[in-house]
Amino acid sequence: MDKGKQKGLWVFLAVAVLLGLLWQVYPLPDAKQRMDALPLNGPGFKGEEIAVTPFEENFFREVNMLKRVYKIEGQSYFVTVLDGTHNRHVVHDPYYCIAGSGWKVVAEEPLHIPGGQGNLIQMTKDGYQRQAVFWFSNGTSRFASPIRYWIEATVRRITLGWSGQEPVLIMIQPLDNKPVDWQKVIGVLNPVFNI
Amino acid sequence: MKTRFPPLVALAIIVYCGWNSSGLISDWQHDPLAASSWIILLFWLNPAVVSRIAGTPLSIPTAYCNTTLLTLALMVSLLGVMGSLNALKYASFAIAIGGLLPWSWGSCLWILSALSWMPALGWLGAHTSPSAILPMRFTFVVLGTSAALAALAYNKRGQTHG
Repeated sequence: MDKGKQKGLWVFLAVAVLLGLLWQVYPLPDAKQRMDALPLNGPGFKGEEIAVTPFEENFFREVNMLKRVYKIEGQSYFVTVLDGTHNRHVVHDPYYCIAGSGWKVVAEEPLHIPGGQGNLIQMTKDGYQRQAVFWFSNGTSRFASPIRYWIEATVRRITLGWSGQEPVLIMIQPLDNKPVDWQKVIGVLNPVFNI
Repeated sequence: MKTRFPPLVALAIIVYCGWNSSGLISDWQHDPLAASSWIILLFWLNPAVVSRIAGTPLSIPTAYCNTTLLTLALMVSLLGVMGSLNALKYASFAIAIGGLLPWSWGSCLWILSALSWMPALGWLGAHTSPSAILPMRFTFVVLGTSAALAALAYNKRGQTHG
């Protein structure tokens, strides 16, 4: 490699390091305000904050996390919201986390929700059956595609937040195995779709 | 055993891309679908190491490095840092290391086979067949490193026989 090319690469490397540092220290607005606006109680639902475990406190450091149980007509639902503005690497494609923890998705279908679409998944592990609904929300639209989440989150960071609000991951899981009328849950827990 | 090092700037770029890829360590520690990928990475590095050991049948005759790939690696790594996207950072590390070998069909396949140690392969497997992830990792890394070593040997034979 001639001296000219080496010099050019040194300059490019220095510029890359500087730009990278600038982008990393820039304070991106997060989604905490949107998450805090979710009421704990309301017509037809009663919520309870769930304490973060020591593992979660470490794993989800720098991540705004909402962890609650909501009771709707005698059934309890675990609601999780993850805002990865300051650490987007812990906001995974739910299928990845499900597979990683030994669960197997046996069925999935799109679920129409206010503002867009979520995914309803049925999963099984060691003979247990569970279901969950998840979607990503950027404050304007709701979608279930992790690829779209990665694109939106990446473009948001490259544009230093100018492209839009941070997409967050929202998941609702019933705590037991009873049949769920998801349209009723969606109708009662409507404020969750304002995140 | 004498080793042949590329220019300092090439090493600096590899270190920069490697530093940006340090999220891999956390993935290896916490992600069950990325477990043992560090072994795959060590195996994947073989062609880069073997080609730098002077006097061995597959050594590169000069302190070679590919300026185009190093430039591309820098661009991809920077984009990964700006977008906070680990997949781009890991890809940049693979491209930077790939710049240590002469460009050929074999080195191209080898760079592509870097997917074998990336969490992205686990993500693909999670959607298709989680139990196939580890076999896929091993298959890709063996095919990729074999292609690179074969290309090195072919290149060497071409030089020997004129």
